[in-house]
Amino acid sequence: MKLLNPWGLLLMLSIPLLVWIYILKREYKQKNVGTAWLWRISDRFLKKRNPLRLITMLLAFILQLSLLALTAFGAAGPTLPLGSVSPQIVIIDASASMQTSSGGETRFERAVKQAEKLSQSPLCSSMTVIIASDVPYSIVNDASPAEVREALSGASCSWGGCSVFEALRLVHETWSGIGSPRVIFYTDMDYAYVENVDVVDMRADEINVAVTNPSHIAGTFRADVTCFGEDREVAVALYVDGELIDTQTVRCTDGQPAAAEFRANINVFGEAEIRTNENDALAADDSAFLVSKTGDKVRVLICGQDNMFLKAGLEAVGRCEITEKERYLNRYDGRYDLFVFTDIHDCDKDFPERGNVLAFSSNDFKSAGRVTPFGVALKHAKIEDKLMPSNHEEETDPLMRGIGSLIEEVYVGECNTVDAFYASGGVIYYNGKPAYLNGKPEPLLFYNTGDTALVRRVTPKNDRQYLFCFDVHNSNLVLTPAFLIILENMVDIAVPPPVEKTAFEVGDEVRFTLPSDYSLPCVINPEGTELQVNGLSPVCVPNEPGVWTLRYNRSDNIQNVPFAVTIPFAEYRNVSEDAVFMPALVKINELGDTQNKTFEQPLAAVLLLLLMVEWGYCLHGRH
Amino acid sequence: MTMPRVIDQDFIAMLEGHDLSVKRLTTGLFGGNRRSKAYGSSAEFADYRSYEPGDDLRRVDWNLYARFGHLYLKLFVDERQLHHRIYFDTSASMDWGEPKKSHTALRLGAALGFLSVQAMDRVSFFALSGTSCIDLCGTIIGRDAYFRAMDALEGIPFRGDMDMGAAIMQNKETAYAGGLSVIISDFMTDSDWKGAVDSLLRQKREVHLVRVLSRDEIDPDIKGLFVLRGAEGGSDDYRSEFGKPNMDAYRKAFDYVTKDMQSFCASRGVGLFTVCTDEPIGQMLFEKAVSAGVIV
Repeated sequence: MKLLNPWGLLLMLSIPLLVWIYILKREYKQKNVGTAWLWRISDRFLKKRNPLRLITMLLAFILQLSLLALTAFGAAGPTLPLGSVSPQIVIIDASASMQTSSGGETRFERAVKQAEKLSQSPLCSSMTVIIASDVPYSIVNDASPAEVREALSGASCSWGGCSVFEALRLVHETWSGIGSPRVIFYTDMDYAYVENVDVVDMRADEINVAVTNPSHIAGTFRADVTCFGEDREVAVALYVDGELIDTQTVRCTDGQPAAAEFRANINVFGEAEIRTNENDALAADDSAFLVSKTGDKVRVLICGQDNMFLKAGLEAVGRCEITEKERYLNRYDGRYDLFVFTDIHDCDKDFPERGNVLAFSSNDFKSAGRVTPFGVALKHAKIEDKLMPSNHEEETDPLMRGIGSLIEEVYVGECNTVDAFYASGGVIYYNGKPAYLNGKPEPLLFYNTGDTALVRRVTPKNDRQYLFCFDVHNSNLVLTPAFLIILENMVDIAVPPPVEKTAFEVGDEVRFTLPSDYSLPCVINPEGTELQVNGLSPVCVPNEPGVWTLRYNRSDNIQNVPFAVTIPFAEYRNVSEDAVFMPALVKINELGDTQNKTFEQPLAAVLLLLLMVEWGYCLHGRH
Repeated sequence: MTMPRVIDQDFIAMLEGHDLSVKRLTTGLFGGNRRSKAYGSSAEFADYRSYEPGDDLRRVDWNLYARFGHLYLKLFVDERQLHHRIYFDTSASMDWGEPKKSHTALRLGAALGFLSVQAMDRVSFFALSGTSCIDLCGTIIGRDAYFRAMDALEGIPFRGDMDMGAAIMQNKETAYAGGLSVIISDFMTDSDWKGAVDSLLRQKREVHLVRVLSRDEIDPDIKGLFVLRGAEGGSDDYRSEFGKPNMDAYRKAFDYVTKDMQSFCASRGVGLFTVCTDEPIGQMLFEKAVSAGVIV
């Protein structure tokens, strides 16, 4: 039960007054009479006191007391949900601050749990859940508790802000019931009381330390250090170009910025970082960076949902001129050097004709809570080194065009949310020349799954073909049975079997063809498997052109053991211009079945591209 | 505030033509206007009786001797002068009511006094105060003395308490003449008023009680928490939460007391009538007093 107007209960303060009037304050009035003689005689004629007389006398008091209590209770406006029909509308703040974690859970995750618990209430027959990001959206409307729970399991927080106004407007748009719905707003912001909205503060006893507003003036580095949740002495360190310069302790008052100044007498530097290693609720704001601003401006277009940290990271670079858009529509827009898509679908599958692209998969936003700020990763990735000139044809170094190294760089830079990249200019370069498919630049998508980078091609039929697997650790191109390499003169583009096989079972066979001019060894790289190549031992290194058959023979019955054919492409740096230095795998429609097809158009050797990327990577050094 | 006068011309005019009703005429002073049962020496012929030796020959009716040859004596009415005494309860409880019981009592007493002097009787007014019986005006004979006494009556203070029994019984001076003894009081007292009445009766007095009450003493209507403070002060108070039961009990008490008075008076041959202060004086005198046999 809820009281709409608890102040009405103040009427209950009248009860003591009533008690005082009736019981404590029985004041006898004085009345003058001639004589009370006859009244005294009348006592003998009074009837015996009725035992119920007291109750009768107090009856008026009891009735008035009850009336007063009921009036106070009524004035308080009690509401009691009756029955099972009680629609609820839940708004969950999905701004970046809700990523703050406490006790292992972020505020957003706690809000989701509370909403889920609410949906399980027997009085909640239907629930609408609105995720309040910059553009609020409903994940479920007037749904049953089971549907709500399922929808909440896929709810994700954003890295942008929260539009309360739009969220409430969405509430009214979605509400189709009679009267006003009960709205519960889970947030970590201070909001004034909104009529008919219950604001639930998701802030727990969190302690967060933030380092903000870095600056450098005359050799002195400065930043603001703020501790939220308590007064604390915070240890802050200054790093310049990766070297620890100085440390100090800053006394912070809850919520009040305190200045941390380092007189380092350093005026020339590449990058400076002021950071704290406090174990706090949100690690994303524990560092502030300064990057020397040299070089030309980099024009960056960010499309999609707002990502505060991504933007902060780009700004940390110092050379970025950032434009933000909701969606990208003009793939021929030549005004930008770097396109950043916060979701891979924000560019309608048509990536820009020119410029570099950085695209995120929305799936990885789920793991955003475990990711360090992308600004840090970008810094480590030295993004400015990877930016390509707008005219890609003038660039002779293929490594500067491809972003495979960026994959590696970013990966090594501990940013594993980046999982899709686009080749520079939308063209695959093969040995310095663009590769085409059917006369059009072939868009390929590079996926970083953590250990490997997958290259995916979308066919005109929207089939997704995984071409090959790029092992960034060992700089090897790993061929897996499910992939097919498209090369010039390649036999076919295989359609992967209905069930992708990343490992072989006993009796499986893979046939691949090494080109006639293939002259490099290929190492079968099993992982604890037993293979036979053309009947040869597993350690066989086929080095002759022709069709090779890999048969998986394992004496034990372990199934689905990973298997790969590894070709060290580090050796490919010096191949000739026209050489096809990658073997082609035949199509695998069915295991053991092969087809030979010929491409009408020559395709750039994607593997070559990666080889070139690796070449460039090697040139620029590893992390 | 000016006290209303006890008597006025209208009051006197109202009383003329009436007389006190005195049942006992065996005693009294000579020279009055009251007929005694005995034969006296007034000029009014009463009866005949046979001559007996030793009778006064001047009373022989010689006309009857000539007619009947027998000697008969003329008898004449014996007229006496009575001395009426009127006792006022001057306790504080009498100074209560609207109109005040004291005023009503004085008016009634004044009326009886006038009727007394009109009948050429004597009258005395007494104030019962405490245990004292105070002669207010001495013996009043004639109208002039009466009117002078009325001025004194108007100044009687009504205060304190009163012990009727002690006051009347201690007053022994009135034994030598007959007449009415009228006690005017509210009789709301624990004092021995019955003993006082008996004392007067033993003195061969013809006693009448006039009970004067206010309307709220006859029919009170009190509700709520009250402490009733009697005018006489002291312990004369009563605390209760008044309601219907209290009213019913009061009426029963009133009836009980009234019946007790009535039975006592009936047993003693004492006249009793009760007046309410809001009744017209005429109704008091010519209905109730007449019914009680005090006035004719």
